[in-house]
Amino acid sequence: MSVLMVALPVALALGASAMIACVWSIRRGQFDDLQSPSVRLLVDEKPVDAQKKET
Amino acid sequence: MNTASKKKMSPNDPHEQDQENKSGETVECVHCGLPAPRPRDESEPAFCCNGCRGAWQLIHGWGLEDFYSLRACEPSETFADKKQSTFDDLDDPKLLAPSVVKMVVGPNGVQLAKVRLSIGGLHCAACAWLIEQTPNHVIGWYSAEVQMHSRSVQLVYDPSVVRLSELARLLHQIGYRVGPFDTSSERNASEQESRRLLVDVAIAGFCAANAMWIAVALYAGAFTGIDVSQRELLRYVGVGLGALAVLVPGRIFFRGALASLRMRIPHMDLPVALGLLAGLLASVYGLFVATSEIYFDSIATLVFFLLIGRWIQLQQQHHAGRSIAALLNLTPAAATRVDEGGVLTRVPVREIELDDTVQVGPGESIPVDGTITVGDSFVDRSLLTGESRPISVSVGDQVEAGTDNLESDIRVKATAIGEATRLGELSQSVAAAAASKTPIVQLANRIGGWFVSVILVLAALTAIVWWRIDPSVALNHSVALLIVACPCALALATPLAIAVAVGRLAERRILVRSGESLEQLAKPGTVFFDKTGTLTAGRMQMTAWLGDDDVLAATAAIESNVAHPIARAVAQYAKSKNAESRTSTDVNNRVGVGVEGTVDGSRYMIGGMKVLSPTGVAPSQTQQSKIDEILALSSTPIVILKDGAVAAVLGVSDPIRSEARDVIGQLRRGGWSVSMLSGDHPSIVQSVASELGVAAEHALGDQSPEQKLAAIQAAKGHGPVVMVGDGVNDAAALAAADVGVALRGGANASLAAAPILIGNSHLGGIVTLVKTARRTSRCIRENFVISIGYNIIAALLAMTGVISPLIAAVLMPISSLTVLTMTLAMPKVQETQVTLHAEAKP
Repeated sequence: MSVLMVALPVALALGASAMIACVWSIRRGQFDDLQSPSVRLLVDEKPVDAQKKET
Repeated sequence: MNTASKKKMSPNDPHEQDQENKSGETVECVHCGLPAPRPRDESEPAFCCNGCRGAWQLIHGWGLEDFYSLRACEPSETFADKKQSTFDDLDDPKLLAPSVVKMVVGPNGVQLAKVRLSIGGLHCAACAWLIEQTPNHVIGWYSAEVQMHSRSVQLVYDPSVVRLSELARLLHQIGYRVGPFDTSSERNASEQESRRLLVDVAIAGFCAANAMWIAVALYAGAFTGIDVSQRELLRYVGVGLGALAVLVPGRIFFRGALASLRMRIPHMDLPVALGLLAGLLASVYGLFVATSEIYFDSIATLVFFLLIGRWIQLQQQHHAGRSIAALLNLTPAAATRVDEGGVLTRVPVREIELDDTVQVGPGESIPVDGTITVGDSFVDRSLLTGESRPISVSVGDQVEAGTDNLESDIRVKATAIGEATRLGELSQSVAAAAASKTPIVQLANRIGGWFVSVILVLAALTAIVWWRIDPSVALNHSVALLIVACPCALALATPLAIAVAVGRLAERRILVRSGESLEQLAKPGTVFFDKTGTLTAGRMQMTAWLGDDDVLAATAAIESNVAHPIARAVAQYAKSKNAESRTSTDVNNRVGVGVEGTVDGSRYMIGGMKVLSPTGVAPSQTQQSKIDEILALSSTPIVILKDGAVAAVLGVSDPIRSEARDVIGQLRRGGWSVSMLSGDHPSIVQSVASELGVAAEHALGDQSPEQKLAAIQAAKGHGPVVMVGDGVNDAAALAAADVGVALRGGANASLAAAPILIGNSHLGGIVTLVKTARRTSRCIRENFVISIGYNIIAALLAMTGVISPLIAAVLMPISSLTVLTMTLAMPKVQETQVTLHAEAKP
């Protein structure tokens, strides 16, 4: 009995669990809005010295 | 508000920029960026109006002044909307529909209300930040969550503490307009569709990735030796994954193929489905019956790539759909109906019927097209006509849905409602334009359909011919053909190239609403520029004055009643000269002529040279020479009549944008014919044209909106016609051109009329746009050539039996990958040589 008999199902199970997590989060609507979350992350912080932004 | 906080916002605080330039009469309003009178005390912020002062104080009071340094947009894009509205409708569930208030249990068991509203005036990240921070400062308001893509905000509040209308009023005060949000069927359906497709992509991705490593293991085993039991295990699992990919996420291709068969129209899904089916059956056959080759990994990858292409396409369609939904949101949701006996009832707009009479208060949007039966007022028709000056209306006049009543109550008898109104028709035409596929996509579909038929015939021929020669390889060769000739690269290429281009333009703050306009911009044609606000800065400055101070004070008093750039320039000039303030009465704005009013018993009339013609009054010698001098300086002369005689002459001008000359030069070198259309005096237009290098015969002055339209219509037929305008005054011309490019955001009219919006108001964006369009179009064509050429060669090889289904399965994704790589590696358009800094401003 080769190690493959164990390794293969384990690998597939790992991949499948990631896929299920992905499908779950898609169904929960986490991928609906691909714009605002990326933006929200940045604005949580205080802006850097605004002088720099202008230059 | 301490001084420290003011220091922090210095980059957007125009005082400091203008420090050297103390002579300037105006500064930018710290809140909205519009010209504002310079405050007495340099350390005080400048405001253009009380609305901005209120918003600024509110934001500072909350300690959210970081907003001003966070915002990336031109301040003037924001808060263009200063309209007063009533919000009480939001408290009535019937009028709030289609938004629904849901009750949820919050922390400490409080009953909280949760509702999703549409929100207008969102421009950049800072807007979302400001809105989401606001609830921290309002008792009873728990949260606000902004969804940029759907332009909506979800509010959670305690209805026993605050009413929804109060929150709406607060949001309006800081510059955002909220209204009911259509959560209903269509939007939901598109969201569901997108989710379902993404789930399919995830499953296909899982299958493809795992099938791939199993295939690698098998290939490695084939070269270095592999235990038979292990090989069989890998083969079983691989085919299982391939079958899973074909049967679960791949089912949409079979559905498409079945529909195509039923409709008897060749569709790209047909060979894909056949190829997948053949690949799957051959793999299963190979697995159980013979120990021949199997191609589970390629079919799984095929499904994965095709689904990604579909998803990109779907996202684009939804994006277009949402901008239309935003347009439809412009009409008010509720109206006051005048029922029999003069009873006023507030009803949802959809309940208004033809011949009903509605009462429209000042500051409200008119809900229907109709005739005024009672009342006089001013109406802002900028949404439909682009004319920003209010228009006087009285009994018997026609008014349109979506225009704003400004002054007093009017009653309107409905002659058209809902989709039959002009706004409704405009929305529909925009919707139709967005839904129409771009010509290049149509080309892809046409070629695809034709291609499919040819491939099917060839596959049948291959099978028949090889059956005669050697029955054992007939199936193999035709399967190889079906797999290798899959036009998936063709399907992927176009949407991907357009998506890449639109994304890259968006990074440059150039928003493209329909892919079709990109396609049209690829070939040079005619480009019309509006002058004011497009080639010039759009901020009038008074450059000359001939007359006494008394007239100046009177002029300023009259002009202060008018929201017109020239009027502002005059008012500011008067202020800088410390002219005494007077009060004016009977101010009457005569559209297209000028403005008249009474000050201290004298009747004044202020306007361009046109005001002189009906009166027959002539300016004096000195005044005439001043007028000539003003014209020579490419300024606009304005004359002031006092009791019927020319009392003063003034000149206003609008400085040319520094980048304009370079942009026009680049466009001309690119083969475009550049023209100017302006409502201004022809001699000014000529002098601006000569300064910018536009041929004199292409610089048309004194153009009415109708003449602008006619000029654009006339230019059609010689390549695409592009109109570049500021989006506020040129809505009709922008809509009439093949591609309208609006240079300033914020205005609803520009969104409605122009498929392309240059968000940073920089003219250089047009050059970037044209170059990107050309490059995208070339990239799509190259992709076509490569994928079709590739398919032809591979098909020939497959038919002649040179390549086995296995090699076909390896070759097929390579063509997709080539197309993918080429598209993603499409060279970026370099930032135009025009400097992108402060020179854009006067």
